[in-house]
Amino acid sequence: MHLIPCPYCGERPQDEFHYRGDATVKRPAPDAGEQAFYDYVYTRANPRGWHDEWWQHYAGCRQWIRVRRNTLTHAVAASAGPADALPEATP
Amino acid sequence: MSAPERLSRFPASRSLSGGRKGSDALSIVEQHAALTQITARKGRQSDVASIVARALALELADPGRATNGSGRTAIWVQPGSWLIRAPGSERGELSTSLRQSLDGAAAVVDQSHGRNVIEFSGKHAQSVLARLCRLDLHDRAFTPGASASTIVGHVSCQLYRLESPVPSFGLIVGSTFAEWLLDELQAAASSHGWNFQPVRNAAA
Ligand SMILES: [Zn+2]
Repeated sequence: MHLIPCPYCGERPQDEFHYRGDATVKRPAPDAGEQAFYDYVYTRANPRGWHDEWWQHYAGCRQWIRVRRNTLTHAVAASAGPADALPEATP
Repeated sequence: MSAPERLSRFPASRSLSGGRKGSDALSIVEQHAALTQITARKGRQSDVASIVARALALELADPGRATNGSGRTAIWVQPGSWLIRAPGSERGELSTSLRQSLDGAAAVVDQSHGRNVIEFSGKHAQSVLARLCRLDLHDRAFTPGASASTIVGHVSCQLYRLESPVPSFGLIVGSTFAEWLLDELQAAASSHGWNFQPVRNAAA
């Protein structure tokens, strides 16, 4: 069973969560052009290692949270509320 | 003369006991409750806590907890939001009076008909619930007053431990899932046996 630490509820089983995508993408400026918006919507890095992701604790507190997960080992280094930043870097 | 009002969510045809016969049977009791969810407006959380404390003599619970006061329970459900459980006799009146006293500090939603309360208890309540739920419900991990929104028998459910000498849990579930949850609880409890007590009809 994979446990995800919710900043509000504590460690909870992964099946209480939905994956909600890459938390590193930033919306471009309105005049950034078509290619920038194409990349924002569709282009993802698929990294091997640490990755910041959106998860929603849909069967718990219903909040969207940021989770830093290792895509290789599934280890979770940190989590934070939607308005809070994750730590700078994970070695 | 009118027919007595049926207050139970469950059909009258449901069995009142099942599974193995013996003294270790689990008890499943449907509760007639008034439920109201309050969600604090942005920045009004401490106002909401003091208003509810004054109006109901009830302290709002910390995250992951449920608190009791004056026959009611405040269950934390998400940041800034609590479910207030009161006796069924307060249906309607509970949300009306909370809406009045909170006066816009929180959104107030009556959930009395939207959710059902089932109490599940017995010597083996924890090991039986463990068949349906992934949380650690051990005495040390999930003490009386602990509460969690989680999944029980594949259904979203508010689960909290009641103050009681025998392990006892309150389960608050969406009404349309209540019969499913009852089936799941009875199936999980059948190795020890179970007794089911629905809400009695109101007098005609
Ligand atoms: Zn949560």
